[in-house]
Formats: sequence, C-alpha cells, structure tokens
Amino acid sequence: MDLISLRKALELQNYIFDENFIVTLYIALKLEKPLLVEGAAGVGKTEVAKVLAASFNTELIRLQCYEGLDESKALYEWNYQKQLLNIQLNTQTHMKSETKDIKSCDSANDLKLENLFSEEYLLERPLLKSIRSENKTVLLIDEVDKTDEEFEAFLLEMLSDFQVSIPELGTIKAKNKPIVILTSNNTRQLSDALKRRCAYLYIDYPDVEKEIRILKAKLPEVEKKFAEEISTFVASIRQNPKIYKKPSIAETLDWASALLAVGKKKLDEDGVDKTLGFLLKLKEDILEFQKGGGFNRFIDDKLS
Amino acid sequence: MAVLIDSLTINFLEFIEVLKLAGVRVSISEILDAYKAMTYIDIMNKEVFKAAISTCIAKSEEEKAIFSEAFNRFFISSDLKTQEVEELIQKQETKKQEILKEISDLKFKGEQVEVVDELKEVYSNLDQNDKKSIVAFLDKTSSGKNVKNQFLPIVEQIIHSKLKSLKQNSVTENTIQRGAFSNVPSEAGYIAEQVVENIKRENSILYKNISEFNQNDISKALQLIKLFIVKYRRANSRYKKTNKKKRLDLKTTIRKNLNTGCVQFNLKYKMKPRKKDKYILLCDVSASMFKFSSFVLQFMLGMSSGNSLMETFIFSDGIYHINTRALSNNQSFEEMVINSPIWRKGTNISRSLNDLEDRGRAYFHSSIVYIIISDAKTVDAALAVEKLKSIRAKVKNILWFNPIPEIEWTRIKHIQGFKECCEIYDCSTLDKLERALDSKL
Repeated sequence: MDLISLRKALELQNYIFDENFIVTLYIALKLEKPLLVEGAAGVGKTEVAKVLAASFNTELIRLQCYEGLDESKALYEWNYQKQLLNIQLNTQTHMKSETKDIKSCDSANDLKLENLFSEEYLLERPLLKSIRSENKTVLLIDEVDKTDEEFEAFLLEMLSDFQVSIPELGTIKAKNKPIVILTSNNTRQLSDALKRRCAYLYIDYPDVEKEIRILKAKLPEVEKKFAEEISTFVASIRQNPKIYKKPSIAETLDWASALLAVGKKKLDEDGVDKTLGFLLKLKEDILEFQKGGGFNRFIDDKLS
Repeated sequence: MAVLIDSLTINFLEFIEVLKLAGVRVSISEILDAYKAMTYIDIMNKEVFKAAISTCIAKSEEEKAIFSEAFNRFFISSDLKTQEVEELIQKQETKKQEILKEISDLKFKGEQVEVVDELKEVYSNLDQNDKKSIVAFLDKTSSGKNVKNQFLPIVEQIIHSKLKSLKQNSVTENTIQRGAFSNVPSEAGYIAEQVVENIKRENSILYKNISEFNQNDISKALQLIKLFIVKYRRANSRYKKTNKKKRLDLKTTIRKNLNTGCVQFNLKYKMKPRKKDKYILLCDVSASMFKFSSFVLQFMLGMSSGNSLMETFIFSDGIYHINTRALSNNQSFEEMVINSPIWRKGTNISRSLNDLEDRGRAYFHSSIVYIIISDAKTVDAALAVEKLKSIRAKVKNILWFNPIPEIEWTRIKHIQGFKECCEIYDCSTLDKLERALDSKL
C-alpha cells in the first residue's frame, strides 16, 4: 500500500488527520514496526487502531492493559479444569481396566499425559490470537503505561520478532505479522527498550480548523457556523492556563451533542451553563471558568 | 546518483550527530530504521521527510521538540548554514575580545594580573560594583609601602580566590552556554548548542529558580506542579509485589503437580500484595522559606488533596497538622496555612520532630515514607541530624526536597549529616523537581 492509498482508506473511514499522522502511520506500516501512540486522554489514540482495522477490513484484537496484567491474561493459559477432568477420567479408566489388560492401559495413560499440553487445552489470549491468526490483524495494546514493568519487558520479544515462547509448545512465530498499535497516556515513562522497538506518534489537541473538520465528520447535524463557535470556545478553554483538565476531542463531541440535545443551534450563555459539565469535568475547573468571567468573558475576548 | 546518495547519507549522519549532542538518545537500530524510512518517501518533500525520520528517532514529546528545532536549523541551504555558523564563531570571538579588554584593567604595579580563562569570564560577568572593588583593591595594594613587583603571584592568588568565591555565589547550574574561551566545536556542535538554548528558552519556566517566579509564571508553574504530582501519585498508587507468601495459587499448584496425577506434593503460593506506603509530608513554612511559599503551598495541596495515604504537617519552630480533607477550595487551604500559629517563625527542625514524636507511634513504622520540604536552615542543626537519624531507623525512607540549588548547599550547616539519613534532592527549578519525582516513581 502506498501513501496515497492509505490516505484514501483513512478518509473513507471519516478519520480526520494531518500530514504528520499519515506519514508516521505509513512508515510504521512499511517498516512493520509497532506504533506507539502517546497523547492526552481523549485525543483519539485508540481510534487509530479501530480506524486501521476498518480500513484494512480486518479483525481488531484488543488487549486492555491494567496493573497486574500477566501473561496468562495476555498471551495464553492452559485449560486446567479440562486437563484435570481428563486426568481423573484417565485414572478411572485405568483402574477399571487394571484387572483386564495392564499393558494396553499404560500406553493409553502415557498418550493422555503427552497430550495434556496440546492445542486442545490451550486457551488463547489476545497476543497469541493475533500471532496465530491466519489473516493479518490489528492488535491494540491499550494503555500500556498502566502495566507493570515486568509485563513491558515480556512484550519486548513479541514486539521485536513477532514471536512468543510457550515453554510446553516452543516458540510460535507470527503467521502474519499483526499491525500493532500501543497507546499510552504517559502516566509513567516507558522503557527505552520498548520505545526503541516502536515507531512513535504524539497526538496533541487539535487546532480549531481540525476540530471543526472532526465535528463535521462525526456530527454532520452540527452546522458549520455552530461548529466554528464550539471549536473556538473549546480552544479558548484549552489555552486557559488555570484550567487543569483540558477538554479532549471526545469531550468536545459530547458537548456538541449535549448542546444539540438542549435545542441549541448557536452558542449562548444559557447553552454553556446547562451543558458545561460535558466539557469540564473537575469542580475546580468549573469554578475557575466561572470566576474568570464565564461565557461573557469568552465573547469579550472574541470581540476584542 | 551515487554521489547524491552519498551526500544524503553524510548529511543524515551529521544530523544524527546534532541530535545526540542536543540530548536525544538515538540507537543504531533507530538510525537504520530512519535511513530505511527515507527510501519509502519523497525526500524532496521537506515536511514528509521530517515526519518520516522523526517517527523513528524522536520517542517522546520532549524529544519531538528537540528534533523539530534541530531539523529546522540543520536542513537549510548549506550557504545559510555556513553563514550562521560563521556568525556564531564571530560572536564568540567578539565576546572573547571584550572580555580580554575588560581583564586588561586588572593591573598590579603596571603589570598585567594573569587570570585563567574560566575566571576571566567570571570577572566579565560581574556587576560594576564588584569590578570596581577588585580594581580598587589592586590600586590600593600597588601603592602600599614596601610592596614590590615580586608580590604579583600572591596578588594573583588573592584575585583567583575572590573570583572563585564570586563564581560560586552567582553562577547557577542552569548556565549552559559554552565559555568564550572554550574550544571551537564542530558545525554540529554549534547547531546543537543553538537547539538546546532555544528549547530551554521556550521552556524557561522549567529552568527558572522557583524563588524568582513572578506573577505571570505562577499559574503556569502551578499547572506543571499539579501534573508532576498527579504522575507521582498515580505511580505511588500501585501495589508493589513482595516475596511474602499468602494465598494458595491453585492453578500453578495443579500445573506443577500434573506429573503426580495432581496429588499436591508441591504447593505454590500467590505473591502477597504489599500494603501501600503511607506518606508524611512535612513542609517548612518558616520565614526563610517565605520566598518559596507559593511553591510549597501548591506542592502540599497537590500532594495531599484526595490522598488518603498522606498526612500533612507544616513546621517552623513547632509542628502543626493540616487537615486537607476538611478543605473546600484552594483559598481556604492557603488561609489555613497562613493563619496557623507557626507561619513565618524561625526554624527548629529538632523541636518540630520532637512534637511529632509526642503524637505517638502511628507516625513511625516501616511502611511510612517521610517527605520533607525545607531549605535545611535550622537552629540546633546537630540535634536535628540526630533526631532524623533516629527516625530514619524506624521508617521506610526520608525524602527531602530542598528548594535551594545544590551548588549552595555547602553553605548550609550540617547538610552532610542530613544527607547521611535522608535522600536530599535539589528542587530549585521545576525541571529538577520533576527529575527528583521521576527518580522516585
């Protein structure tokens, strides 16, 4: 796939992007490197993987990371209950037939033990599933910064060689290298080893123009002028150094929907007061906004 | 064509050199990736070219900023680049001549006083009063009775000592500029210097001494402090594993005993999650800390609000408990601290710690980490050291954030003693505070 086709594929998904984004994505795909996407919460990091899966018409396999995540939840696990049942069954069969023919029973027992660590008892988790998939998949490792450092180290083999090692089965190489997207909210520094294995993309808050395009793409019912007002207002909130939790793109979309729901077609003080909770999520920020003059101050600044 | 590829490679590697000198960590595999990436794009399109190699090399927001600055300075026409470098060399030469001219004022009995290059710059950077006092000293000494020309080495020694002491007092660690007498660096070195200077200028608040924050800096600084604290608190909300055994791990036990038909000879246990550490925050609000008060207040508020594992105390000549859970907004928090009976009193760390000890054993056990914010200027410093040593033996750790630059610690009495029982970090700038918190995450 060349740059032009990739651009068209993403545009078909109504995904709004800039030149830096498309080149970064293209290079990551060409180099077959995992793409590490960082940025504030709600700027569309997870969306990258979803859009890619939709663009390539392939399955999206998601691994949601959290503290304490280990390989049994991420890679594979043996079906212990099934193994145990099989052993019990085998033991009973063995006891019943002991009086009849000991020799044949022994060989049957050996066969079962060998098979205990076979595919039949293997429970695939997202990482293994993506590697063993017959088709190319998109693997989303979401919020990788939430995991422990041990798990991050465990990911290294997978991300560099697209293979995993299972002691009982050996090394499993990817049939089709998955497109790997890792996202991070940057709550902790990821290791250099992990970063080195990835292409890197930082998604910042969008500028007014880009946000208008996003609003138009995601909420076509928002009129152009209204979208401009919303985006300008959100941009002014983001520029306010006293506001701690800056509104994300997702919050802008929610806020626009809320404004539509209360029947607003243009931005006014009443609409802002009724729906501000969709945009600002901290009590301190709402107080700061009101203390700073609220909507009227925004209008004054805009006019000046 | 071969020549074109070759010059591109050379240019690319020189650019990598600039990045490395500017502080971006670039590995061989990343260089290879970036080089390979160039083959997939139209290298004549500057923006695409920039995005492609940035993807493979700059792996954080900070590195992206350095990369962008370096790229814009490096990939310009060679004539322009040569001209810029020549201008920088010229600037350095001019500065050198100015310094030499100023230093020529230092004469003893008509003979030039020799000063090492490093101190020549120190002299040049002094304010006029300091310069005048040195010249006046030389004039007075020259005209003294029985003063001979042979005394020149002694006079030179005195001037050296004076300049060294003035240097220690005036120079902060944030001075990154290369000296006018330093060796001339390569072209890459010049560009990297410019990149670093520009980045630091853009993020000047990070490198500014927190005691010098003006009103405009405060709100920006507060946001940064809040961000650092949020990062710190998130990291510390994680449970850490320990080797202590607790619950039986049934799955692992079955797995390990399959060979014996699941007869459980070999029991396996789950790791017990360790209890979260509890933090005691001790903030110095004495008179000597007044210039850092806005920083200290925000640091306290950020650390303690909504954090059930943190107890906050302020201290000066005694200790006072701050109940942050009872606060409704920032204003009342500041009021509570400022209206406390110990605000802006003298510092007595040992007495404050004694007061804390009187509150009972709950504040002294192995899962407690103490965080002290203080300039370490206290009366009875020896007693304070002894007290801290005894506390250190009972608690998990004592972290000390000092808003005074490390370079000035030598002037603090008993700092060595404090260092022996506490981990002391220089947090005179936000950059240093962030690095200190990062190192403890």
